[in-house]
Amino acid sequence: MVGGGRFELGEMWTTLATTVLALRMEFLIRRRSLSAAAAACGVPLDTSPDVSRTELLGHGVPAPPFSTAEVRQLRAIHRVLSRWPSTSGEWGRGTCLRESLLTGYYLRRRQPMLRVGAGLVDGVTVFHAWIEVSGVNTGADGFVPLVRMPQRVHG
Amino acid sequence: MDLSELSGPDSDGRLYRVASERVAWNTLAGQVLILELENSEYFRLNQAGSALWEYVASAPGPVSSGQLATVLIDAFGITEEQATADVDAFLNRMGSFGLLEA
Repeated sequence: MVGGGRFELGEMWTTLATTVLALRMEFLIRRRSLSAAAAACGVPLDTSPDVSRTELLGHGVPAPPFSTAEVRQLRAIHRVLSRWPSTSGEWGRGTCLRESLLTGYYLRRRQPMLRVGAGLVDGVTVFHAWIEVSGVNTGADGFVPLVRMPQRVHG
Repeated sequence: MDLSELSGPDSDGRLYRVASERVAWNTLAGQVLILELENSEYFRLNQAGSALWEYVASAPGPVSSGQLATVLIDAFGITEEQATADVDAFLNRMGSFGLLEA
């Protein structure tokens, strides 16, 4: 089928482009600070203590409506990173930061922000990265963001 | 706790505060977790380290090593000598990674 063939070609092209992007992103992660790498990917690191937006979002919040091209890009990210070399255990499966940066890059017109944080998984502290895009927190339920100088009060 | 009333033992005269431009952090299950932003390094503090870090971060101004030793003595009931040694180790460690600044 011609239509099917064109679709597959588009998927292949997007996957190839995503692979190149992932390689560039890997270089940035290893050579630059996290802030600089995130900014270069078009998804600035957000360490502001104002997490009210995140806290308002939780289970059942619908994802932003993605375009067909964006859906294809997100599929390509999953395809590429499922074969990406694992890094350290600190990042769970080791790809959440990379997934966030690539996703943020593709969705950069929506002005996404990168968050890093930590949560307890089976009683063990794990670090995690996610993005917030269009006011929606993507995949960070149960994680607290790391922020600059939250105001604390001694008990 | 009134921070201004603390007068710790053997303060070295230096005052310490969180390097707020270099770190992002939070507390999870009583454990302080820190991201150093320049080198993208992560740190997990133990119970004593977390107590010291939260004290420094929540203080209205820079704190002395003596104040920090008092925090450990009050929290864990250890000797002044042990507290001073632990605080020195904490300050050296945090300072070497640029997490605290004098």
